[in-house]
Amino acid sequence: MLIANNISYTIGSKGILHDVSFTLKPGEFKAVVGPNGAGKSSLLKIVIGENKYYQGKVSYHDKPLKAFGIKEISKVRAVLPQESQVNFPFTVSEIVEMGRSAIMEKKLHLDKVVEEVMQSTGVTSFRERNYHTLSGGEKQKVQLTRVIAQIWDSSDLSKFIFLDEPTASLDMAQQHQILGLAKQLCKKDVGVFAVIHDLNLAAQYADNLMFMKKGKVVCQGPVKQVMNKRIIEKTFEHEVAMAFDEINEVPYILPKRNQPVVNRTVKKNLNYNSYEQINS
Amino acid sequence: MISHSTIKSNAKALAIPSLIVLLIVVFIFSLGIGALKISGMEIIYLFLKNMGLVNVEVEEVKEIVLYDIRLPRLIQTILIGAALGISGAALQGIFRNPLVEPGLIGVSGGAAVGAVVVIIFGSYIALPIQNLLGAYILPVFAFTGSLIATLTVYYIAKSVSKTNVTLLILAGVAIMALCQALIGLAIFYADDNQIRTYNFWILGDLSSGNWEKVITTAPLIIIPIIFILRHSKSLNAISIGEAEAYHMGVDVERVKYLIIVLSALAVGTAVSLAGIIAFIGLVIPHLVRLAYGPDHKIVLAGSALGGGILLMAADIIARMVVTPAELPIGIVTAMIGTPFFIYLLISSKRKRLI
Repeated sequence: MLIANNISYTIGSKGILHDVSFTLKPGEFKAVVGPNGAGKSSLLKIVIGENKYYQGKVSYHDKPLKAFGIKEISKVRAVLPQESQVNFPFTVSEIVEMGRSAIMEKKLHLDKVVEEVMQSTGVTSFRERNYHTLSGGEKQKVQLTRVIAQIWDSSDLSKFIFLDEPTASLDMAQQHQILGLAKQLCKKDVGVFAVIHDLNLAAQYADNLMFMKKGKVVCQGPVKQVMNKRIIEKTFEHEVAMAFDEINEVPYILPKRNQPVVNRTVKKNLNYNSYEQINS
Repeated sequence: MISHSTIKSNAKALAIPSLIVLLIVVFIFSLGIGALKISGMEIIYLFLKNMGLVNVEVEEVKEIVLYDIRLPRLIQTILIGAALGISGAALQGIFRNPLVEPGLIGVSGGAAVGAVVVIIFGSYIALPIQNLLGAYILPVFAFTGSLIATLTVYYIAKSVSKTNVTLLILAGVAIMALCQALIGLAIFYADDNQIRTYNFWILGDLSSGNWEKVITTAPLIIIPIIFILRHSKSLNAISIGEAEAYHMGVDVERVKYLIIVLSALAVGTAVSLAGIIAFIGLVIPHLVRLAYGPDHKIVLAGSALGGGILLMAADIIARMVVTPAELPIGIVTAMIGTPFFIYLLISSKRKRLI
């Protein structure tokens, strides 16, 4: 289990995180939501061990994070960034193979793992393609495959995957593919921790939601309990209406649009009559 | 599909053996060229004779020219080419950019300053240091110079999470300018004889290779090469991103420092032997990637072999164009390398890498 206890983090005199605590169980999908600047990515960087300058305690399987070596921690947790820039024309299978960088193993076993993982995410059909020629969604899928390869039978302990806005620049189908694959991992006892911008998307895949605002946890709990009008409006400072998505059986939010403030001069330009005159 | 991937993996598997064969062919061809022609068969006979396998008559003068002049010179050429090739590939790997070259980011310039100090002010260096370093005094000074220059460039270009390429190249330009100035200053104090030595050396001079030099400096090139080769997996991981490599369990900072120090040692030694030979470290990794893909398991070893091959080839040109004299090797490599670099700049611009 991953336990984060009273995490605080400041840059200079500016507080980024205040007393954030949460747990992540094997097989659990936890999504972090909140407005920009809430400290979601900072929290993620701390719990994966990338940022060491924080107060509080983080432990994996009862062992403090700070006691893990770089190689050791890479066997229990893997990270998928929002976007990776690859400067050399590697093929898909070469990228996936890199997930095994820190693992000493025979070539035969490596090839077997790469094959199995590529099968599981469905990238086998373009395994020899140059990464640069892939679409945004395909690229992210390949990166996720690499991330899964990293923790594929890497240790007897249960593992955790961290996704930092993994669907931010993807289209609808691609977003669901990526999160669907992540959800599949939960069935294999992997704990998933994802920063997700789209609340509805988060609600569809996560078991638990964590609302954050200005470095603090507003509320966390099972989706059906915490996904309500009061909490969402408090977190995002924006009016929403709630509905229930019968197909996926999760709550659904409908953000209300901002009433446009149109002043007189703009209104004049948008005059329908003049528009028609130009066309005729 | 399957056949395609088999062809590809076959090409990868054959990469290193094919380069070794090419190296041997160019090596034997190059041994025969010069004022005294020695045929390929004669060379093979001489080698076999020396191993006591055959007993044939070959002119003694050919044997002397082969063993005492051409062989050490060519081995030195291969070592220098290998040092430049592999360092180029490894530095491109850690800086995640195919435009990096030992000559461009100050590695060679710093080494040249260190070497010039020894060439011109050698007699002023404290005697205990001279005695301690012995024959290694030139490589050690060159290594120190190149390490200082490279680390300076690295720190200037380093920002919070990644290395900024524009800053890297500009910092390289600045450091090279400073190195030129320091070299100029040293020359100001040199006598005519030293200036002549310097002039030959700075443009790249392979003709001074002899067994003593080869034996003392070979370890300073071969050891860094062996250690660099062990980091192919880490370099692959770093090419997706420094943060990503760290997440995958690679100690990125340690790998970067190791590569910088090892490259500085290999290039510093190469520069101390034959001056600044530009563009080998740029052209070779690029060609290897073009032929066999970007996997560092092949790019590193392939660049070491390819560097040896290209430098021998350039040396053949340098010796043949103006026989019986020879062109400084640095001029030949720059003539080939500069247009290639410009081509790379243009194609990177198209791919929006810069």
